[in-house]
Amino acid sequence: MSKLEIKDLYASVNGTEILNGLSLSVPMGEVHAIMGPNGSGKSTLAKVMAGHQDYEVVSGEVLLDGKNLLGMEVDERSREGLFLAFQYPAEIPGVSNANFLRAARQSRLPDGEEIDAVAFYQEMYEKMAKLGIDKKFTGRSVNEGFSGGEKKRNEVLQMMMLEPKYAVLDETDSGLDIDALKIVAQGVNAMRSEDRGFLVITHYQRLLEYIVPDHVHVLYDGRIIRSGPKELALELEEKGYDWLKEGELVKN
Amino acid sequence: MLLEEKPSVRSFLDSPEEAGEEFPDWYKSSRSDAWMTFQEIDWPKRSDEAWRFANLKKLSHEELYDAKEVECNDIDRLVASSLSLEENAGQIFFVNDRVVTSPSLDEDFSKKGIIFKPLSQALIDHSELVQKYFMTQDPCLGSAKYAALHRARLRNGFFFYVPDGVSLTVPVEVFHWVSGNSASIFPHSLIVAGAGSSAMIAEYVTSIDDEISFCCGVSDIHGEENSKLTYLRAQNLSEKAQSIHLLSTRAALNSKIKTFNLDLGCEWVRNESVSRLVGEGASSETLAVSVPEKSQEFDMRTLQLHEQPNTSSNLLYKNTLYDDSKTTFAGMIVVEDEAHHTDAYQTCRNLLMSNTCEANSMPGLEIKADQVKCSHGATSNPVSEDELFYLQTRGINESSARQLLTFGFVKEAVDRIGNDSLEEVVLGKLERRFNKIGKR
Repeated sequence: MSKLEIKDLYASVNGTEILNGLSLSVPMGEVHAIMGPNGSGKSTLAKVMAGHQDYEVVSGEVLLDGKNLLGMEVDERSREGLFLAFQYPAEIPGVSNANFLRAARQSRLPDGEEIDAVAFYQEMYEKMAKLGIDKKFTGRSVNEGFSGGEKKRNEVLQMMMLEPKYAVLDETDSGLDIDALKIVAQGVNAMRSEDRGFLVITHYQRLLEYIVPDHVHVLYDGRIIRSGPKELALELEEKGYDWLKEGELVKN
Repeated sequence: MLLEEKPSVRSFLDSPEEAGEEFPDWYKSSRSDAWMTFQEIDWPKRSDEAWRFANLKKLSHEELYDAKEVECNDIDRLVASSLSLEENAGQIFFVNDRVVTSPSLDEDFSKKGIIFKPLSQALIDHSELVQKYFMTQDPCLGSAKYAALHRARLRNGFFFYVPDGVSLTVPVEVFHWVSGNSASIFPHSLIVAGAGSSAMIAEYVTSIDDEISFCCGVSDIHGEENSKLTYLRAQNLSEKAQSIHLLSTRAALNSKIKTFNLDLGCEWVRNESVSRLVGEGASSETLAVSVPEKSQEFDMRTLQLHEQPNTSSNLLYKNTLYDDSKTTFAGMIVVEDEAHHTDAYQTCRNLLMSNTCEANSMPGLEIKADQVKCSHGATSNPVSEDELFYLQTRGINESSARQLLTFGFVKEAVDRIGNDSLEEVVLGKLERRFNKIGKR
């Protein structure tokens, strides 16, 4: 079966171990949420999967439909079908959104083949319209001077343009007001399909009201300590994380 | 060996070359005076403040001669190989400082009194007008000796004069090509915008071959009251060439002068830029982009001189350095006693693409007036890892991502030219450059 699978992953940053044997499986077609308190390793997981050089993988595997991503360069992982929507997207002065997206699309073509510019722009404008992004954003530098909501919408636009097999959304709800959150969630929901899996990382249950997950996992101290149906998110909202932490201690 | 230690036995340095009989007397004496001045002034030394950090070893005039006249029967091919404007109001072509094909100027514009012709012709046809503006601005940034050399040896260049109240909405273009081993050229650009006029001009200096050459150019720009001028200069001489370019602008009452300098070629470049704001309300924008690689050295000295109140100046230099290349930027803003309510900004940013490149920045301020807004700053950084990572997570490989980021870096300065067609030419030249470097 096609899936995004994380197997017994250990990773550290600057010598500090953050992920301690994390295992998780997101079958294609499903939306899984990872919740966890601050410092549990949520963002580390996203960065490790994408291949950020500051994070060292000590052991374990990340398999995308059976292929080990960890041996690949950052860009190869993307072309293989992984997408990371950033919590804090970088601002890139002087590089227009259109040129950026075009380069990203171009990177997926074989050498010597050029993208069809007319079709590309048409598709981009259509997708921008769905996300309520003004046309003039194509000429603006990537994320430069964008509000928090505009940046997150831009992440979703990139996801729509790149049509990944698996998307990891890292705290996509942070910094969004309720209206922006709805638009972003609509964009994500429109992308849900049998041919795509999502891993939604979030601190709050709020986002999961709009992007309803099939499964919820609780990350604590670098590993998954509880998995359950979507109702688990509500339980966490109500009780906080402490009851799970206590359970974890008892279990240890 | 340092330059000053060499005896001056250099072909074009040996003896003066007098102006032809056809030229006006004032010009003939200017030329012979210049030769004397040239001989009186010492060669620059590294110990001179104005030549600090300069590598004078690379500036050698050994075995350089005045560029010879060359046959050029395929100007179209040359033009096609240079990126230039899709639409122009007029063009002049030089090879080795000689006009190689008839200059053009849109008829509508010549009817309005616009003068756009080779300097050799303008000296005869418009002697008084040329005299009024010719080499009137003192070179004050260290290259007085080269300014004198230029005046003593210049062969040609162009005179562009826009009469009062005339607007030229399409730029004129000037092409300089150099050909032959050890060829030296001394192109002179004299640009005058009359009161209330506006115009744009693009000038390209390019090598035809890969030979050693020397270019000692002067561009003098005068904006009379309420005029508006944009001047673009793109230098892409051979990798073995040396270039000294002295740019000066004089902005009168409420006039606006914008200059953009692109440096790609040459083993060694020295650019001096003086922006004088001589009338109240005048403003200048001084922009430059350079992309040195290998062992290229670009040395840039600038002065923004505010002489009157309510003037503004804005300078932005952006350098992208590869390999063992080196840049030196020394910028000075001077606000004179009278020049209250001045706004002056000076920024030099260097993008370091290797561990062995070297960017020296020496920003400076000298303020003698009150109620002045001034800022200066210089930064030198490698490509941002965060930006690189972001692009790579979208599938763009590292080399293409670096290319996008370097292009983005210089684009900030290009965008400020404020004219699409001029920007397109510059971006095209930069794209070629980055592609070439990316494919090495």
